[in-house]
Amino acid sequence: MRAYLYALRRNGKWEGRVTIAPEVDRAYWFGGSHAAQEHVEAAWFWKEQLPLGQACQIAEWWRMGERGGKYIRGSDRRGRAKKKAEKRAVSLLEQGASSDKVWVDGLIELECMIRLTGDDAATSAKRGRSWRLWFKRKKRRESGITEAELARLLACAELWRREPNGAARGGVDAAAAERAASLLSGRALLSGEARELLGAGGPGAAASWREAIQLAALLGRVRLRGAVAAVEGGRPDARRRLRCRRCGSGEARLRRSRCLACGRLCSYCEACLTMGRSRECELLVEGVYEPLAQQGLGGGRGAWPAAREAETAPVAGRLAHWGLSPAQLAATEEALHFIEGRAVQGRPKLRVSRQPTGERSDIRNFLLWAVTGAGKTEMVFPLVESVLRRGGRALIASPRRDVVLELDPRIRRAFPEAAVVTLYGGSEQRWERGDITLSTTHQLFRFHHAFDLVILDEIDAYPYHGDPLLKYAADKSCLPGAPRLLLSATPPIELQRAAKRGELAHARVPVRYHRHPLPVPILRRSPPVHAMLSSGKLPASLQKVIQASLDRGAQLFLFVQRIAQSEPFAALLRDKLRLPSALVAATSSQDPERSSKVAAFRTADIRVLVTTTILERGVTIPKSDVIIMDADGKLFDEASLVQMAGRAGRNAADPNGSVSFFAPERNQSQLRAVRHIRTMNRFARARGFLLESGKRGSRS
Amino acid sequence: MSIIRTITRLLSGLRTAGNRSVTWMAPHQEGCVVCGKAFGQAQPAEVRSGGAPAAARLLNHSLCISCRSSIPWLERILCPICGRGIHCEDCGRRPNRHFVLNRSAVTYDPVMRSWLALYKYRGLERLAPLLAEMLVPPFLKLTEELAKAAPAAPSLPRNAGIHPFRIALHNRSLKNQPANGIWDAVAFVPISAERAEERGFNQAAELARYLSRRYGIPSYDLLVRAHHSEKMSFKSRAERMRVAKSLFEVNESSLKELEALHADASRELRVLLIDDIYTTGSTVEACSEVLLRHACQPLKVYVLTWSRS
Repeated sequence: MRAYLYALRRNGKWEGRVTIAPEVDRAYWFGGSHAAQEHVEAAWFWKEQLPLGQACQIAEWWRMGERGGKYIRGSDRRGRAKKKAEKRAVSLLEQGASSDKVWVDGLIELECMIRLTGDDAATSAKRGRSWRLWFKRKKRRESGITEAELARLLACAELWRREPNGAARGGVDAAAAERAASLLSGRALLSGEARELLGAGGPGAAASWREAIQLAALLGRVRLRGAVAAVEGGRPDARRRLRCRRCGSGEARLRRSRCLACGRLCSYCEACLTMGRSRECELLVEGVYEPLAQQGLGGGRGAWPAAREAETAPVAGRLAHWGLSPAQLAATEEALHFIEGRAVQGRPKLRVSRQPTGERSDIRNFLLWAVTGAGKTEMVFPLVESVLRRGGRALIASPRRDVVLELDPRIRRAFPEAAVVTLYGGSEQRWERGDITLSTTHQLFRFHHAFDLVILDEIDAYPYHGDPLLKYAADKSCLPGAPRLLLSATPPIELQRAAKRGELAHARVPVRYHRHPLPVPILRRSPPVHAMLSSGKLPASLQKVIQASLDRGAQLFLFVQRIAQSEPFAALLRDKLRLPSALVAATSSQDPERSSKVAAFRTADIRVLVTTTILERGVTIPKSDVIIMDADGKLFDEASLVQMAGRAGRNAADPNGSVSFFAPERNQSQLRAVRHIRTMNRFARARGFLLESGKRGSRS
Repeated sequence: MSIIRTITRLLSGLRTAGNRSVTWMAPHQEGCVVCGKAFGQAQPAEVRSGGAPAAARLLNHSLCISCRSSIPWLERILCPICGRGIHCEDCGRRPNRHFVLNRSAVTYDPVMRSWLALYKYRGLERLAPLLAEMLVPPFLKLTEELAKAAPAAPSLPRNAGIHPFRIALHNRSLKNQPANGIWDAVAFVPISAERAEERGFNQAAELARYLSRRYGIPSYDLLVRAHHSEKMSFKSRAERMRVAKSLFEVNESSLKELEALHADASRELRVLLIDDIYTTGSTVEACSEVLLRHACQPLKVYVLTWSRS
């Protein structure tokens, strides 16, 4: 994409500005209907279109130059350009130029900047074009601008000044801009997506999308930038390095190629290619979301206001109607105090100044460490309610699409009046913006500072855990200063440590909502799965466990390591246990019928489901047992084993499901998983959360 | 004699060492370019690659085994005109064809469709050299056939009026091994300005540029797309033929340059026209037709496409 550039003289200073619809800018600054024109004197409009990336770079450098910054280490390129421009302008004035050329220094500066950032500038500097030419140019510059040169410059540009009759020209519908701004609020979209979003509202809007977005940008409601660009601010040497603004990838994932859209070598991002191509000359539209802090609750930008006691009902009263268990209640209360910015009574205020390494410092994290089946979703409800009550927007994001889909009906039931938007790849609600957004972490690339409360579910799950891009997306979606809740049954070790050291605010829920202890896995010895498959034999101990589950009428999760093993193992089970084939099924991430099989499993049409770690979380079956084959395998670590074991006994009617680890060997992961589960049970007993302990509700 | 033999052996040893060092020094690839899967430790070196070892190296190093073996090479050509692997009626139905023949590298099956989509619509430009490399086997085969049929063109004299760079390029192309003066120009099917703006690159031009650079055949922008049309992939056969007719124009200056360069050639001009996919042939037919119409010299258009559907 290409854009136009102009130099605007305001308050006696020149500033570089980019536009994708020049007529809008002209009408805005000089048309007469806007209040913004007070101190605007004139503008030089460069008639030739420039690659968007270049135009944005010029505007950015210009801004920095006004603040006295240097662009590139060791040299002040724009400063020199400015000096040159002043010199040339002065000499021009001395030559006695006519009065309407007084502003020509702005034009000269503009031209200098274009040359500085242009491709031929880069290549000539690199190739070291003949020194003679360089000297000649230098000499000519020092002696000032010639009439011929000036004529050439004037032909390239157009002077904008206030129209004498004051009529607005090229007037855009202010309502359209307003509409565009409100639709784009909190989004970060490529131009094609923005067009689609505006088009979703009606066919008329799509036609003049450039004008609408440009006016919104002038009004400060959206920001227009290159989708791949150098880092803003920062150290001078970092400024040459490009970065994808949408996914945060650095140069390693960028690739330069000849671009027909802008006509020069242009980098595109390979990391987020699946969401549309982000490149140097591609427009990234970032809509500004007016955060809760500015919507009447007082407090400056970015500062989360402490909700006033008078406005919100007492915490205990608000929590009462959600029907939480004592353990849930205790943790939720703590979290609620945290997001509302109040210290818990009787407890010292948590130190949150030092964040775990690599965290954005302006996000306030809170770790909710709740065992599998603790009822995390129910605990989240009061927090979401708190934000909604204050007119804010909440986000619940999960790395897994299945989890998002399962959450959707529960949220809608809990908040019937709120607008709920569910986002995943191919979602129908792609362009809607609601009070509550449910989303896969991938979809967060399309948001920018958009939520007053971010709740990240299953933070240790693939693909979120260990993926810097998704982390970037999750950080980006959060408003500066807003609270963020991290949910997990098995938090990554660095978060566990940070929580222990008191650097990360947290609450632990060691017991399930039904207040029975977690089923402790039983370790059994068996040959590996591949041996069973090749010999066609099932060990008697395994058959016995499966038979026991079937006899007691429970559903059975059977986890294997590899996708390739799932189907053959299901076949082996059917054969050996003489089960009707419909009762045993296998599924994996590569199974197109996965969702229908999971649905059939839920309705008990399928009794035994052979699967991989894809179903380790998010799926809740009332009466279920778990068998993990090859539990010593590399793909099953402690977290994964705990999660899979957590599929059993989730319902109050059947709290004691059985969990068995079958493996040729006992290894650290299995033992740690068992220890993890035992520790949680012990902790729950000590806090009096378990039913058997008889100290029901002693703390609440 | 033995000294010479030793030296030859040494040289060839050096060459293989050089070739290997290229693979050692190549930036470490984290996985298959197409599916992203990490390579196993042992990548078997030899793989069927359309009968030509030339294509093997790049494919070996950027594709995993399963992706490599899923390429449906078009090796057995049954229709001598459109290069299909089955006998076809299409070519009989078109009485006055303007191109000589078409050759394609692969059959357009769902896997190839997904590869092309990854490159063309997603914009994964990293795939460009790989797809272009796949054109090499049919290109070499076609060149060989032509070389058998006709003697090579003579070297160009340094006559006035032609840019010396072009002459140098031409003469180099004669020396360069397999192309050997068989081809006078590589051209490609153009895309419209709107599409260029949207996509950022022309896939056919990228393929052509690769061949041009690899075999030293000069590449020319002979064609211009006159007006924007809907994507061809949404159209029926009859519609495609009708629309394609008025779609292309000749880039006069470029054609003039080509003709001036070969003003005193003893044989007709041979242009290799590149496109990504050959479906009904109406696109390349329209291109060839307009080229022949504007050419002042006898000119023959051979078509090389990446896939044949």
